[in-house]
Amino acid sequence: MFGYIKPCTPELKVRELERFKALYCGVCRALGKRYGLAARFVLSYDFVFLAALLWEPDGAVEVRKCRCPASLRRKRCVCADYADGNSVDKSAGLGIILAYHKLRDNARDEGFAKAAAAGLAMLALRSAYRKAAREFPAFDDSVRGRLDALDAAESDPDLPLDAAADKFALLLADVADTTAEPRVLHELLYHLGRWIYLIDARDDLTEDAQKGRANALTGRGIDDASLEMTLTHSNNLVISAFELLAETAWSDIIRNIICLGMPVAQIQVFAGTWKRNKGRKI
Amino acid sequence: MNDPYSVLGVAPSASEDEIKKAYRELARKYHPDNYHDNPLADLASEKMKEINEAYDAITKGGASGYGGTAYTSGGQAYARQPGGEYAAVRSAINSGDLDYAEQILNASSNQNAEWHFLLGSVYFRRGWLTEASRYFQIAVQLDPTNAEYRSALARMQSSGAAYRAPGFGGMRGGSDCSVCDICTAMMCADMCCNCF
Repeated sequence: MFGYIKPCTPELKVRELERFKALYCGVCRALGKRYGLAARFVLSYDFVFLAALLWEPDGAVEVRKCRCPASLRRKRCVCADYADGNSVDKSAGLGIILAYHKLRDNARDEGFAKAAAAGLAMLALRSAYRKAAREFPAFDDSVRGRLDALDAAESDPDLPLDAAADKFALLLADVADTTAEPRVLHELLYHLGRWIYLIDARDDLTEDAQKGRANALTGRGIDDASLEMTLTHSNNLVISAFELLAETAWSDIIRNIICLGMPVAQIQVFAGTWKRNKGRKI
Repeated sequence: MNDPYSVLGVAPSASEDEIKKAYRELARKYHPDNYHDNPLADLASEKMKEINEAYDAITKGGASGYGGTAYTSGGQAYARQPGGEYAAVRSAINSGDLDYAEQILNASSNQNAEWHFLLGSVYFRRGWLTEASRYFQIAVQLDPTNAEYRSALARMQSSGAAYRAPGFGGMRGGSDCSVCDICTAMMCADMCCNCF
């Protein structure tokens, strides 16, 4: 989706990094296997995080080698196949739905070139999306509704920023309804979504101002200090919600992502260096 | 009740020190201070109770240091003036029914300091900090002598302080760590990275 939710790799153990890469490949493979080759292009770190977050508490991590279309020469590790309905397949499905609706949104809002590109991408993803929407019909409906509400909220300059962020946050929080631990995950994903929305707006702020595009932060009179405060607050609420979930095989990697990866992304977005190095260096 | 050793995450053969260490770590994690004004506070206090019981069971009723009842009273911050005009709003906020609280406030025509404070509290509970800060500031301006409003504004600046597991607290530094310190630290870290 946006790719802000990723680990702070220098702080990961080597074996944790290997496993995280394996999960990344696993989600990509699930996208390819279930929804076709084009679906692999929607892969982003956010969905890998989702796969780790929704992991069954007693689910073991099995890693095996297989070939990847992106690097044909060497075999990469990927997580082994799982039973139906596991978190990897699920985050792949939810990812397709989110990506498709995001494209639909772009096709409507952006200029001619970008709208045309989004339209073509939608065409390529159409069958993948139809399949995913059949599997998660309630989520598909809610994403559609939330994005329309977000559009309406963003075009109303009198509406406070928090209310606009709320629409996007709820979109992600709807994922929690498909899980066994809805209350804690709802809170976690709500604040994760809120954080993503605000950090994305801040990241695009300079560019949007130069190109005269609309940005959720423009004209709302919010300075960096108060924006940082609210972002850190949401980040903290993500962490305190996460600690109430049962430990899984991915807990330490998730702690790295939410306790270190998100603050690093936030620091770099505010410093204006995120677009250049995407959190690779701290 | 679950096996007290698995609740604390220690082996049954663990020494007294190991048990105490595990208990303290968990108690720090689920401490009510970390879940102040948090909609999940009840779950955290349940965890806290479970940990206290497990520790007491292992140490056979020894003094736990974190009494079970001492930390179950969180979330009472808005109940100090039960007879006030906005008693219903306060009780709605306490019970977590934020939509109802907001509805009553929106219907009210008397927009005094307390009204702004309570609306700020509703937004704060939702995690909408920019709105909460706006309303708290107006409340403090309208009634500068009220300690409740001032403490709410002050608490917001340091709010949601989440527990971070050992080894996961380094990125933000302490409260005395400025943005410059972080930049300097990052520059040093960057230089170290380039050595390899």
